[in-house]
Amino acid sequence: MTGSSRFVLWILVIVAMTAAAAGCIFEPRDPAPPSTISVQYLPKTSPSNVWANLEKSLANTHAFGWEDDITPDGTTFTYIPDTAADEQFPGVFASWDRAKEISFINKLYDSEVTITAQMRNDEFIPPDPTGTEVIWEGVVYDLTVTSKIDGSATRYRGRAIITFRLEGNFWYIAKWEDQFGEGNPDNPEQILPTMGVLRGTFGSK
Amino acid sequence: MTVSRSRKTAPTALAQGVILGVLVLCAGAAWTTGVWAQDTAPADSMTTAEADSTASAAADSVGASSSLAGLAAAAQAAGAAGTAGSTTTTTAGPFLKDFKNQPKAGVKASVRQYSYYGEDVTTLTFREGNFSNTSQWSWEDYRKQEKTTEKRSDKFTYGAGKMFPFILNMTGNWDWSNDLTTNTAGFTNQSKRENKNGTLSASRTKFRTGALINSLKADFQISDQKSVNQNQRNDFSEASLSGGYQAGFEIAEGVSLAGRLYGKTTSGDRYLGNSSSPSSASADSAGFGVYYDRGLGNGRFAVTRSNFDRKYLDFKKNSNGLIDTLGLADQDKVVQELETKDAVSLEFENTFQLRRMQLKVKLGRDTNEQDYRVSGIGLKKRQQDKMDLNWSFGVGSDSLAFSYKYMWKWDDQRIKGATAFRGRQYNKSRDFDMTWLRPLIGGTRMTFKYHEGLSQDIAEHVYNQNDKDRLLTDVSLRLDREWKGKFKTAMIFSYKQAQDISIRESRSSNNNVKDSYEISPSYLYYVAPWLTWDQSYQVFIQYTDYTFSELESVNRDDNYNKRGNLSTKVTIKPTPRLDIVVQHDYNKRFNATRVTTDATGQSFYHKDQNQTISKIDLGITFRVAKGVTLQGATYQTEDTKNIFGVRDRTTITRSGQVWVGTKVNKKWGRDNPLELSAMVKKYNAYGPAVNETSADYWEADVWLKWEF
Repeated sequence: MTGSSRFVLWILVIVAMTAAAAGCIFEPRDPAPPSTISVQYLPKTSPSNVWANLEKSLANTHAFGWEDDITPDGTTFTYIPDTAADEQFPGVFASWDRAKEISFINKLYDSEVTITAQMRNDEFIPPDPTGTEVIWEGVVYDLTVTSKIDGSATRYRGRAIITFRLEGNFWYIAKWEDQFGEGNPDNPEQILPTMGVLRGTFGSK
Repeated sequence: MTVSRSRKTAPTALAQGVILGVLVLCAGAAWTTGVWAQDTAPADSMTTAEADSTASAAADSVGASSSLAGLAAAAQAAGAAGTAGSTTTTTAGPFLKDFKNQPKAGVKASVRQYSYYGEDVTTLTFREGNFSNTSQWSWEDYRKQEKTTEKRSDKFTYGAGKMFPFILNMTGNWDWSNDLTTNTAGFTNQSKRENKNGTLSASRTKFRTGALINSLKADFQISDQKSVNQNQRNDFSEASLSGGYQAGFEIAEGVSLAGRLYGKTTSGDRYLGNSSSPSSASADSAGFGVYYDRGLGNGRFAVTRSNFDRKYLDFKKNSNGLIDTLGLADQDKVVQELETKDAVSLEFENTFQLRRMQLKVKLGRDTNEQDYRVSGIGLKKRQQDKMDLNWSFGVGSDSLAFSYKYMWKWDDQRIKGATAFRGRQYNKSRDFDMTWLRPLIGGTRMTFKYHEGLSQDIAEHVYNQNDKDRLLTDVSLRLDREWKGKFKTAMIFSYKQAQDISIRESRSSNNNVKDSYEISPSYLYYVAPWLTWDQSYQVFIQYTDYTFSELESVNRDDNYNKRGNLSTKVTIKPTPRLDIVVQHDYNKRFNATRVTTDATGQSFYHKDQNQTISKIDLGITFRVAKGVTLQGATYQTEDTKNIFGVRDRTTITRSGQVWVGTKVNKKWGRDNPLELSAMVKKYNAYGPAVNETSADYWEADVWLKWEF
């Protein structure tokens, strides 16, 4: 057997050992069978479905649903806050990427909250998806985060520009730019914070 | 060692006297402020930024491993080189050696906004030291919303050069901004801010006293901010003084010890909303490390401890740290907060190198406790353990690298008013990576990669329902071959599996396994020096299987998505001044849902949708003359979608864009050059996703700069 053949053999042995060890080290836990009706996510075959999935993820505080809608690993996700949020959390948004977005949503959902959300205002008409990139300008989202611990409720309502990108066969959110906080429908003079404030609060923890 | 020092001229001595006077006065004032802050223990106010800077200052000294390492390296270098004292030299010449001005003005346009800006940079170079001042102004008008922003700033820096036996720097900043944003309901919010700050810092690095190599640093800073946002005032006026000392010495050949102490105190006043209060903060840290570089290995062990406390005005916050002022009277919305934090960090690193084999081990632990007197957050405890193992080696023409990363962290919280902690939130992750590079026959190279990663979220005492695991497996094989710069080929085989597993019964209905397969051959053919042909083909399929799809309560159907993509790119350079690029992408996609599985386990799918996207691009660049380029590009896309259901439906959408533009870079004069840079492009677009602002717009960046 030549030195090169021996080397290849060693590689195969190492790979086999790793695969065997992986069975122990990389063994996920057994899940409990579902007791409730499943969260009905829509296939990500259009930007509208992707945006609607965010609402389902929020309502069920189900992190996979949110993570699955953000551009996958190896691609770029950008979040740009509105001026008010940026000034409230200086430096927090400088390099906001997919990892930070996922960390934010997990921290939010893990913090014992219930969320009600309407991610799209009735007046907004989404453009037909075509090509590989679609931009939604001026979509207004509205969500209320209620703490299960102290019962306090905070409402977030903002206007945003959302860029969807086709990666592989599916649409994902590639860029989220908050423009400004919208007025409170119950008290229009009160300007509500955007999700930038929510991201800043949990992103800086 | 000889120290040369030239005779000082009167202006130099005068300048030195003035600066020394300022330094002494500032140091005295700073000392007074610090003492006052400690003696009177005033309530304290800080903005988040200020608080962060205090925290980072402490963290700075805590995370001083690299700094300590530098000092340890200096100790070892000094040990090798013998005595190394600090020397001060002064060169002769005129007091003012150079005076330079660089005014610049420009305009920018894009689909998002129009900007106008101006800048002036003034630089004075003295025989000793230098001074620089930058003044800036900008105005931005947003196209897609009612928003304007004006910004003005001025920044100066002064460095005393080698005038003193220590390094002396002064900086000053003034920032002013005014942002007016009108929302859909017609209400305009003004966000206006004016911030002034000045810093005086003195340092002396790596000087020897006996066996010790020392570094000293002291900073004095004053800050003043006035701002308003959403009709809420947020002002502060503060001064801070900080100092640090590091020392290291070599205990044996290649082994050094190093230590560091750091402290900072801040005091002032803060206004938030309708409330005002004194503010204060203090931070300190200590670090110690052993560093070695002997024989086959090198590494370090370092431990650091830091803490801070700060008093400031803040809005009332709930247990999640969210502002919670709903229904409160104005006087109850703002509270006097006291925040404290203690942190400890341990780090060990060792690198072992033997010929082509390297083994690197890194271990670390970070712990901290953060407590709020008023905020609903209460007390938070955190701990993080990390281990990185990297092993790489080469045998013959092969090279191999393995890495294993393990991270285990938790945080716990005792919410304000609670008698017990809520339970730990754990995050654990493990990642294994392997890369194998091997040359095969001829000019063929093989790259094999394998990755296995498991991340887990676990809530102790099930205080939330979000326990979940994610297991990722990636395997890829890439083959590259090159025929003497004429022809290149590549082939990629890839398999990925992602398992998303929610553990709790209330979340597990969407658990799924995604398997993805990809084959992607490509080639690049240099047909002639002026013609290149580049083509790639990609076949991709992803199956999604829902773990509990067989249960009646889980209304999820397994599915697959398939894609084929053929991309062709031709680059033509008919003359040295003209480049033409033509590209065509043909994309075919299918989505299908599993309908049934027969007794043999064979699955049958119903095709839900197929889609064909065809896109052609053309780009032209023509260099008209030196510094002048004409550019243009266009694309057309046709997207045909067939949706199969109770009633089949076909939609065809078309979109496209064309832009033409020019780029000019021109410089006139040598001694006092005038420089022009201009990039102007005109865009026109159509299609269902194109709106009024993106259908017809200019993109430009034009500026003029003069130096004298």
